[in-house]
Amino acid sequence: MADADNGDNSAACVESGEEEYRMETVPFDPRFPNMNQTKHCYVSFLDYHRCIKARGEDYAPCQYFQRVFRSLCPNAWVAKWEEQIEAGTFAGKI
Amino acid sequence: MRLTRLLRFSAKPPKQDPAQDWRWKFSGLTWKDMKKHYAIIPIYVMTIIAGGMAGGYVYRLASKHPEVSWTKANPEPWNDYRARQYKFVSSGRDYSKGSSAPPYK
Repeated sequence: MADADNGDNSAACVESGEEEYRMETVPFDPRFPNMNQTKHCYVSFLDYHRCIKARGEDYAPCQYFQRVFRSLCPNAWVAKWEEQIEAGTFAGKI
Repeated sequence: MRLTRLLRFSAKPPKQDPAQDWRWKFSGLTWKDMKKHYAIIPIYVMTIIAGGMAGGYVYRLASKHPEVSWTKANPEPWNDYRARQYKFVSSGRDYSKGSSAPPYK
C-alpha cells in the first residue's frame, strides 16, 4: 500500500486544530464474503428498521446499519424502499 | 458398394447366444471385459473421481452455503456465518473479528 500511516489523519489535523476526520467504509462482514454485496445492503436495511422497531430511534448501535446501507445500497433503492414502507407495501419482514 | 454398405448397416446382427446379446451391444461393463482391455480402467477411475467431486461440491453447496436454507426454521441462513468462513480460499481476509453488525435483538 502506498499509504503507510495506517489511516491516521490525526497528525495533520491536530496542527490545524480541526477535528480528526476518519475515512472509513463498510467493514468486512463474513456473512457476505463475495464481491456481490447486494444481500449485505438489503439485510442492513432490514436490520436498521428492525433495530429501530425493537429498540427505538435513539438506540446508538442502530446507526451502524444505517451507515452500511447508505454506503452500499443504490440511493434509488433506498428511496423506493422507504416509499414502500410509508405506503405499507414493503415486501420485507420488519 | 454404397448400397451394400447401407443394407448391411440396417441388417440384423448375426445370431448369437441370447444370453450374450446385451454384451454384444454394451461391452466394457463386466470385469472380464476390463481385464481384456486394461485401458478402460483409468477411464472409469477418472470418471468416478470427477463425478464424485462434482457431486460432492453440489452437496457442500446444498448443506453449507450461507444462502441456502431447507427449513422454515432458518429464514436467514447467512447469520450462521457471522464468525465462520465458508470459502476455501478467501485471499487473506481476516475472519477472526467476525461480523461488526451489533446484535440488537
